[in-house]
Amino acid sequence: VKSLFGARGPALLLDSKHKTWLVVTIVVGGISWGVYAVWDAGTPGGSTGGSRIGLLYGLLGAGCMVFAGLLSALRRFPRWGMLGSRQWWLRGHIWLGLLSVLFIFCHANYRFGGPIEIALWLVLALTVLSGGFGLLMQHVLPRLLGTQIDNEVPFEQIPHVCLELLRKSDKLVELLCGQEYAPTEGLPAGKRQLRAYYEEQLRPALAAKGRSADTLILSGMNVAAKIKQLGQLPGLEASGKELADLESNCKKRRALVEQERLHAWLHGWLFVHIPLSAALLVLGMVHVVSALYF
Amino acid sequence: MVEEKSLADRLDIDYVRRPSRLRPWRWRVTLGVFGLTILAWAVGHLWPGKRLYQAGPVSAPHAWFNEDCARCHDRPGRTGLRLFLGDEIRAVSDQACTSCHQGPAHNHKQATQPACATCHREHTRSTSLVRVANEHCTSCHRNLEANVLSDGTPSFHNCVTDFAHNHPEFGLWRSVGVKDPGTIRFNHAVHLVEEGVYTSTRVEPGVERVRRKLDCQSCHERDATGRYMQPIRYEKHCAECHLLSVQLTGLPADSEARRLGEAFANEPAPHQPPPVVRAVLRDRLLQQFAAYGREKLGWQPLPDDAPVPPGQRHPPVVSKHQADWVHAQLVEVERVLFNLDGGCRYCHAYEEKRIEGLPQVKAARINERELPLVGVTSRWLPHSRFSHETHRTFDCLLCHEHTKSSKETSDALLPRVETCQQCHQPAANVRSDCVLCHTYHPGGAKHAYLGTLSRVDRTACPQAMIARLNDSKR
Repeated sequence: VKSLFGARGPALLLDSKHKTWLVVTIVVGGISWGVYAVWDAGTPGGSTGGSRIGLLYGLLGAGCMVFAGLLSALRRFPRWGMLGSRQWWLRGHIWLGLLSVLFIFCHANYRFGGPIEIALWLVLALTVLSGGFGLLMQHVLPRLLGTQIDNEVPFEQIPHVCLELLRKSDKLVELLCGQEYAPTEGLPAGKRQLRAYYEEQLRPALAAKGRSADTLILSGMNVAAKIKQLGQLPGLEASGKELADLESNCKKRRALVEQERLHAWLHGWLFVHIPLSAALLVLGMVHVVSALYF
Repeated sequence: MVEEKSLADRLDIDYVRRPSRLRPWRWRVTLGVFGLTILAWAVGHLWPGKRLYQAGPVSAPHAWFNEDCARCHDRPGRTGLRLFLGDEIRAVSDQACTSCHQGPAHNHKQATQPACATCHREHTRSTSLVRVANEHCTSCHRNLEANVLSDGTPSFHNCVTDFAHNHPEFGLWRSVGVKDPGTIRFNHAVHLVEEGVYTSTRVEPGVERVRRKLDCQSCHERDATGRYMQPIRYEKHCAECHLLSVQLTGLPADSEARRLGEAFANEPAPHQPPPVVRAVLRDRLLQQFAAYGREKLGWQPLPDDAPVPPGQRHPPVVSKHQADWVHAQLVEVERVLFNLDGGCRYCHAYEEKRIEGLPQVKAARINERELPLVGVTSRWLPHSRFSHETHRTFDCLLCHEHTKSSKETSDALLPRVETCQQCHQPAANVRSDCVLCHTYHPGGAKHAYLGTLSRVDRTACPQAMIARLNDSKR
């Protein structure tokens, strides 16, 4: 846990700048719920989504959702930055998105409703949960990336860096054992074994795309033990530096696999959150049109 | 540690110009889900049935036209206006309801008349449309004075919010001195003794009559609806024990006269008004003693051309001698039946005035209740409804607790509100809502059969209804 959050706790995404939003959300949510509960208790048979207050809360909930959805638009249209900073919109996205659940909860009078409404509830719940999960990931993983990954590179650079590592490793082995596919007869046993080890195990792992690289082969203990063993064989006694570089390349490649894995958690939730938001938009429109018509 | 130099060597500075690795896929997935959602909605929309848009299923009686939303939603598109104009704006007009249902006004003093859909809410998964929430009633009844017309005074308790806690005592008990107006002398205590009551049956002459133990159901029978009790009828409930038999006295001492006297005594007098009883007994005497009279009492049949007495239209059917004998017997019979305590007076009360020497029996008023503000009704609690059938598993005395000690007909043996409240309260998980006992719309004339439903969409019918339809066709 200490490694995750550090001795002084995590580098918070939900930092003190969220305090105002938190307070406003709690106060507005509490008052809204209180007002609705009183109104509902005073309404014979309970309020409905189609009643005046139900419609009002539905409108508020939809407004909060639209605001939350505009975060994506803001990224596409940077000129909208004059309406507020990205951080401000992100905070609004988080807290108003949460508040929208409360408004919709009241709008529905704590009921699930018909098929469209049940689908809406399901999609809304999954959207909020995936958002919450994403928030947690964004909260924890950047810190973890900083502490666990030594040679962190920009995410978009990873394929390029992987190729670079492969190229460097190829060059090292070529330097030590001759060109690829060249006959190995006559080479010292150490170089022959290095060539075989590299071509059969290390190179496929280094050449694998993205996270598919075999981290077991690239694991520090395996590579270090093997290279130490190879270094003692005839022909490689004086190649300690080159072998150390090869071991370092494997270590870096392994770190990149780990970085990609963490990145997948860091951004993968968006593959759920954003499409569900789109589904929410469609179902919400259907609900609004059908409910207001009937 | 990050090796800055080596990092700088290996970085591809043009990577910012290339498209993001993840973003295109995110867009593809988003567009895919967006399209799939639209497709799912389109399939649901085109699928037979309108349940996709219903917040809940329509109630069973309306399931016949489930597909025809406009039959009820005759003002579509108005829902959104509620936000600005209030909840009175409805997509379902009262006319849509009253085209099939009567729904007469609740009370003529009512200040506001709510729309049908205010109380009767569809699409709520409720088992019944008439099982409305208490608040619909208590919104007025919690302060009735404020909710009647300005020139009206509420006839009911001003504040009722809940049956279990502040429902007033039943009107019957709130009025001082309310008695059963029935004039039949009846003693519940005597009829419910443990050892039973004497019947008119004897196993053999001279032996005590057979006893029969009575319970409430011996006399009180539920009506066809199972709700209320049928009125007590002499022939059905009393005659077995209270026979209207009377013995003739002063008959000749011969065996034939004794046999005829016993036959007369064994045939009870009819349970009819005294003039009818007199006529029936007179006829019976004439017929039963005709042969004996001709043989032993010297009765002579009148000739066919007997003269019509002055003032009458028909010739006499019996001789004066015969009539005098029958009259002499009837005087004694009527004395026993009408004047002695063991006769009609055992149960009935008489009017003061007699007609032609015969008493006038007071109206029994068996099925009448006389209540202040209500007048004469057939039920003790006319503003509520009750089902004996529903309560059949309980001992009658649980509610009618003073019955076994009641000695007077005038005793009103109805339960008080606290008797009902013992069970009917939320804590006991027993219904205590207003509509359990009260109805909002007064009963009255029903709509004539309209027959406007000309087609039954079977896809909309609940299976039970389809089965019923098929049964009726068979």
